[in-house]
Amino acid sequence: MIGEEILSVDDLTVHFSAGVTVTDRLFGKKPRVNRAVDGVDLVLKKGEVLGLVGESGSGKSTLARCIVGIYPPTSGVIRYGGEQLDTNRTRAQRTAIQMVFQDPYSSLNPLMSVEQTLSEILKYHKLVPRNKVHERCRELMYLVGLPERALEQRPRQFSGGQRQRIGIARTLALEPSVLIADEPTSALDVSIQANIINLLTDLQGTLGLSMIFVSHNMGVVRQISDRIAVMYRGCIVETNETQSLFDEPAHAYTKLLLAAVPRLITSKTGSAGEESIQR
Amino acid sequence: MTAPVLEIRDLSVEVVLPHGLLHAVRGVSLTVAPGESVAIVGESGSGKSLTLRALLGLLSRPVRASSGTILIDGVDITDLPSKQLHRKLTDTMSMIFQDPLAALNPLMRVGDQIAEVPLRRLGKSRAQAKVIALDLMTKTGLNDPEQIYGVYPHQLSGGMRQRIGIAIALSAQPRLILADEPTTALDVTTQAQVLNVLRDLQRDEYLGLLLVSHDLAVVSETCSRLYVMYGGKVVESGPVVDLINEPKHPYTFALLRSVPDPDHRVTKLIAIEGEPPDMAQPLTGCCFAPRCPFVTEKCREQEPPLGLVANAAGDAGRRSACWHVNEAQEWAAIVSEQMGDARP
Repeated sequence: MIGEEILSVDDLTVHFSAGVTVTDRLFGKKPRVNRAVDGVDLVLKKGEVLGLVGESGSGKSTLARCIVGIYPPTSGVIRYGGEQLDTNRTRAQRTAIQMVFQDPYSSLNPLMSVEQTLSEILKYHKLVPRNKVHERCRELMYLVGLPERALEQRPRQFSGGQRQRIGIARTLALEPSVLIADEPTSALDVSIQANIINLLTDLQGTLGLSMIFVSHNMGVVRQISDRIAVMYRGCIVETNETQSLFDEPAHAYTKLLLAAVPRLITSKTGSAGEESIQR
Repeated sequence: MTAPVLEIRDLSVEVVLPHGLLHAVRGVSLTVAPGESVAIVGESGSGKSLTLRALLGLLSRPVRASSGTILIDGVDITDLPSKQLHRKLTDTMSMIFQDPLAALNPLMRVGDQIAEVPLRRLGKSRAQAKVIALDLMTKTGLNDPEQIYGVYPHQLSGGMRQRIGIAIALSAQPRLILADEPTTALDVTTQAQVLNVLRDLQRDEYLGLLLVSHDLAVVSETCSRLYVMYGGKVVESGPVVDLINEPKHPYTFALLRSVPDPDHRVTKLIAIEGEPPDMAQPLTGCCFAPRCPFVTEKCREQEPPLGLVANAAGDAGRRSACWHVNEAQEWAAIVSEQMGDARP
């Protein structure tokens, strides 16, 4: 299933500088630079799910957004299918890499019905002939497991899990080959989370997508990823196959992260804290 | 048996909406014994946080507690005049909030915030209060308390702020600590540290702990007894380990299998289809029936009582609100086949 390289990131940095005020300039203060992403190399193969984990502030979301093209990189190169992506991407390059956002509440236009949201994309990018737009919308609803009547409704009429499905449908409308999912389940309830993970896994398999799955939840990442990259302070400290990473974490930070994950305690013996650290 | 520090009987909370009432908590009863760590687990909207808030009288309009009795040390305090009630409650318990930044006063040095209760309520002198505050800061694992005493909340990290929150909760010398999702806003490594602090304090100081969380794993590492809430009701209760090993309510059962386990990968997670119930609608039958994979006619028509479970692991005090409690073995067989990987 997993084929050749589809996306690669080479020594990518994204720096944000705090705004320089007049007084700062007067006194010649240097602007403070936040090195959100600080020299990251990453390879995504075709049909692969790469998990990107780290704590808040580790730069994983910034990296994801930079790959999609929301932020311009400060330096470094992103390649898609062997071609370097400029700041001004072609329409084909933009549609090929798409993102599922974390917050399904704020990432949908509240004034547009689901059909309007989807057909806008289909028409603008001329993905299907005009008379097939409605049919394609219905197909997309089917793909993400929503009823057809959902097309006429507005985002506020849906629950969080359903909204995230709409977000995924909107992404799939562009027929991307790379999907970047930025914590798609962290705003959802635990009982809904499994639905979305299963959906993403199914879609990834049936549509042959390559995916970068950003999350801070080690359990979720283990469930969905083929390979995992661990980020810490803007750098990737370890990359490995999922199984090997969990079995033999090499970097101290990975070990710390794995030990800190709360686990279900199924026996009464021993204090819970000690048990999780021994593992 | 000693009287429980806290007992809640049949608590109901409702929200007054323009077009009717929303029953957010529907008759919850629970107890916490001295020195016991108890957890309430549920999804958002299950009424777990409101239960805590109702208990402390922290509800504000349009939310109100419509019925319920609160007993402290076996004494009913519900009908006390509000000032005495408040005094009684705050003498017994204090609360740790989810978002430590919002719960702290941004204009006051953190040390002074901890010293405030000893100073104003316990009648200590300024110097004594400071000593107490420094001591509490050490207890909650803050290194160099002298220096941290003088800083403001925005200068601290999330984990340190939550430690300050815990220190403040301890400063009133409570016998019971209520914690409302105390680690949800924290990173996983920080979460582990804060949970350790809570667990150690609970054990060493013989404190009661009532922890509200949505995370079963967090709860299993911290608490000994568990109430599972769904749709504003307690659907299952009992010792944590037994509930996890042998759930007797389909909701607990499904919840345990829908959360990805960091130690095992399965072919497919068990998803709980459907959505949590709409609390504005009157419920007939079991509140989990619309989403339950093992639902029968009876479940839709009659509401199951929270009854004692016979012959379960950890027999004593196991309760479940399900008509089909005795078929738990069969659920497991059906589901583990679907998941493609048996969990331990």
